[in-house]
Amino acid sequence: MPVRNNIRSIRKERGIKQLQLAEDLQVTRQTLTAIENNKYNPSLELALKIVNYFNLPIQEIFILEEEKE
Amino acid sequence: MRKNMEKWNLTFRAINVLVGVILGLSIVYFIKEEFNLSILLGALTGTVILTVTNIMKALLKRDRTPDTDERTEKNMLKFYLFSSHIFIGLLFIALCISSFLGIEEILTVYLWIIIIAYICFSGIGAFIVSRR
Repeated sequence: MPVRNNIRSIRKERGIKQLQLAEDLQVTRQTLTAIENNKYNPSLELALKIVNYFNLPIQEIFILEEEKE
Repeated sequence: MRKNMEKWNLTFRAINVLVGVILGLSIVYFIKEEFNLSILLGALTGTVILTVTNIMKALLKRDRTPDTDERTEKNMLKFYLFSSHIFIGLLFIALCISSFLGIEEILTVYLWIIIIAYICFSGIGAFIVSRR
């Protein structure tokens, strides 16, 4: 997938548990796992909620990789 | 308040089905003067089972995460899309085979079985997909 994220590493740095983050963002734990493993790209709304939650610039959380031709 | 009411969705749907069944039975009674108690008992049993399931689910749930979110809803929609197309495809094949075999009449009870089976399988499948 061309979009990666650093949510897991940021979450662990801040000592936030996955369940707590899922509750705060109001998503299921399975969805959060899928996002952290880059198996699912969140919607714009959810991505912005994540950005607001961590209070970091969006490019530090979500990275668009260049597609290899 | 809306979030608190969401956990009782299953009970709400079960009660709606029961109300629909009672309404349908009333219409049949007024038109044909027939009343089938077994249908009402079946709907009542289903309502009780779903309500008890909902109560157990609500009591056992310890966290504040929702049951469904954007990803699970997308998965369910995708599942319904594929299952309905596959069902129509299988029906088409069955129709071709029956036409080839020269079958000109099909009992409506078989059609009911096919429809009810599709509803059951798609419902169970959507439930499984929403939990993944």
